[in-house]
Amino acid sequence: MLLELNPESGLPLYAQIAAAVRRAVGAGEVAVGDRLPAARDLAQSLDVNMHTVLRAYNDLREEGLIELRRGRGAIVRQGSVASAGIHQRIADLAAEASRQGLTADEVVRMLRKEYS
Amino acid sequence: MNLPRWLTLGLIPLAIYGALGLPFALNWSELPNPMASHWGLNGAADGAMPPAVLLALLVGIMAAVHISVVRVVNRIPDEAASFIAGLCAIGALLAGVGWLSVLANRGQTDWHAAGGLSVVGILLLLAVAGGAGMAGWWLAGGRPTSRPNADRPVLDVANPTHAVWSSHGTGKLPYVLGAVSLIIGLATWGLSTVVFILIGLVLVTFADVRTTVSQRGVVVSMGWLGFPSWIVPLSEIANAEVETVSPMAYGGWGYRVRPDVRAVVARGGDGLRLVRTGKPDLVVTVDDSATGAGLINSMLGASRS
Repeated sequence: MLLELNPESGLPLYAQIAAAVRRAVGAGEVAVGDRLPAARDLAQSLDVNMHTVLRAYNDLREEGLIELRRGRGAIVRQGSVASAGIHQRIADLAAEASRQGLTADEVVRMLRKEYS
Repeated sequence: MNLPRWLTLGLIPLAIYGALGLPFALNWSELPNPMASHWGLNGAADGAMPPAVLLALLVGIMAAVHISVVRVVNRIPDEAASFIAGLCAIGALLAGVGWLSVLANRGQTDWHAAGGLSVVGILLLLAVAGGAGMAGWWLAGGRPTSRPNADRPVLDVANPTHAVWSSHGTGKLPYVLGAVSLIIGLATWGLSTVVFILIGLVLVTFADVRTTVSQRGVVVSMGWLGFPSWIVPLSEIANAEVETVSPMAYGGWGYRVRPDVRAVVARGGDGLRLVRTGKPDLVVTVDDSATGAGLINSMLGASRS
């Protein structure tokens, strides 16, 4: 899987890493059950702090995209491929909304309206 | 040197059959029947079979190897040198086993009195087999060095210096062969056990190989533990190519040493070749190697321009 960071982007590094993993999972570059690179290795490779990578992995775990197992690293979960695209769009939406000065509550209200 | 195939695949095996038969022919009347044919961990004989059976066994194994090599060379002529090298090494090994067995048994009337195998003898045997393999490689013309149709993709990334590519190659066969090797090792408790267990451990270690490409270079790490692992700095790499790896072409699985190339083979198929300056190439089997090779080439392009 290919992870790309953009130093000129306004997005924080951990969000960029999470977005890159979502893209790779959505594109099928990593299959269900595959291991992601160990946080320490990825941090060294990207020349970022290990906690930045761990924060990205933690976000992905909360989204249900990956499973973090002690000693075995991060593993892509069943059913994550379909949701990876949605999570990425939500992440993009949140970034765009906060740039325009919208609060989370306002965005949620707008989303609810779309559903009804 | 590039001898015609009828020489390498006909005359060399013929010489090996001769070398297999010679020690038995010279010492036939001086061999006990049965003769010692298996040695335990302490180096003392602990198994026996009639000389004719041992000779038939050695010739039979050699014939099976010979027939397989002839068939594979006809199918993949480009890799002839690897297989002829293997044929010579296995032939020398079998002939050496025959010689050592005959020498240990010669002049005895009961196989229990047969001499022990010395560590020096075994090391000498391995050295001779290695030398025979190299001679076979040389006689058969080596590997074609130019790869005119090499696929060197370049990936279009905005910031190659801030990109990472990570993928792995996993083989099922090394796990199976590793397990079989461990079982054989334990079943035939003796001197050979250590060898079979070592082969098994190596096979299992190399069954899953992860490759990571980043500004640090190319990191290749083995197995679940990620150990052993090594790093190839970008400065050592001339370019990266996509290669379809055939394990047979590298003489099997695991870490393979060939003149001008080192290979980490977990399975057949998609592989990445790092062409290094002043060092042997490194080939790694890894899924989606086109992206990895593309990122390496674009990083190299970015650092040179």
